[in-house]
Amino acid sequence: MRRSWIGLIGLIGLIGCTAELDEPRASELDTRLETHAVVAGQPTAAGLAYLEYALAAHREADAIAEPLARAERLLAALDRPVPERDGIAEIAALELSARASESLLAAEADERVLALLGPALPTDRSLPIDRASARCLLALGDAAARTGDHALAMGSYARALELLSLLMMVGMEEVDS
Amino acid sequence: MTDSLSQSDLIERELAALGEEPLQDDELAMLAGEAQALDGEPAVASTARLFELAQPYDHADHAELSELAKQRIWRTVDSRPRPSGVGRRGREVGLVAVVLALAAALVLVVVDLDDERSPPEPRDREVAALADQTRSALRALDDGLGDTARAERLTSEYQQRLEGR
Repeated sequence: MRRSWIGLIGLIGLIGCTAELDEPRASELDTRLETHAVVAGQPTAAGLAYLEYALAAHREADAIAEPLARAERLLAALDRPVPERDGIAEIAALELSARASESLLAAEADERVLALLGPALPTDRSLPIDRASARCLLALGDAAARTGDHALAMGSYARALELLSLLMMVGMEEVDS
Repeated sequence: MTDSLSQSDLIERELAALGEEPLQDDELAMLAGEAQALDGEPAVASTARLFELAQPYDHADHAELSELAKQRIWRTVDSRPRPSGVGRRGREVGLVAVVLALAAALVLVVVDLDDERSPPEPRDREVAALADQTRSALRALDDGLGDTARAERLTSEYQQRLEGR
């Protein structure tokens, strides 16, 4: 366990070092990351209905082999509004976005990924500390890299890594407890 | 006696897990005569010593090892990669390894941005390296579930909470 804490301390120090990156530079590389813990909140019938809707979309997507068609099915599910103040529904929506984006990348529809995730993941939007957020940031980074926007790619990857490091700390706390 | 036999069994199992074939009698005899020649081959020497320790009654001349020697041998074995079933300690070490990988990636970003000699735009090689780091970290945190299975779990847990179960 001592080694875990040594790793954590080192990581915290390094994250501290990235604090100076909080302001975008002339290169427009922006690695700012706002996060919040996943708060399940009070479950509601509307929340359950949303989760069931998302689950149905995933099941239908499983049966679609062609990446672009699969993406379209998942994107259609994203049209439904996410219940407010419901952390689990927010994660479900991010999972849909991540899978849709990965399918679009598989179909080489990179610009559509930028159009989907660019407005959804601005640096001033707080993201839940969950693997789904990192998946979306990775997909955004991949799309940006393919289209030659290296600053956006680098920023997205860096944000994903920082988010994953936060997720790691949560995991370590769970192992310790 | 029971402790000694139990320890031998443990060592034999450990060696089998590492994929080491047991040494033949003639090989053990050769090693006994050439122990000093193995000084430059620590992996071979430690493996040979483990077999000696696992068969103390067949090789009385080498049965007695100091506590320090035994500690060193166990440390050698413990530091080797385990094939499977790493358990909680393995997971902790794995988490630390991933944390260090993430830290290395963050250093890459910081160093790159602080290097005034770098061009203002990140280069292809740096973008690709960071992408690889991100993908590796994401894989390390994979829960092993597919999208649909994860959605099923989310829905099931949510429903249970809603119904107060």
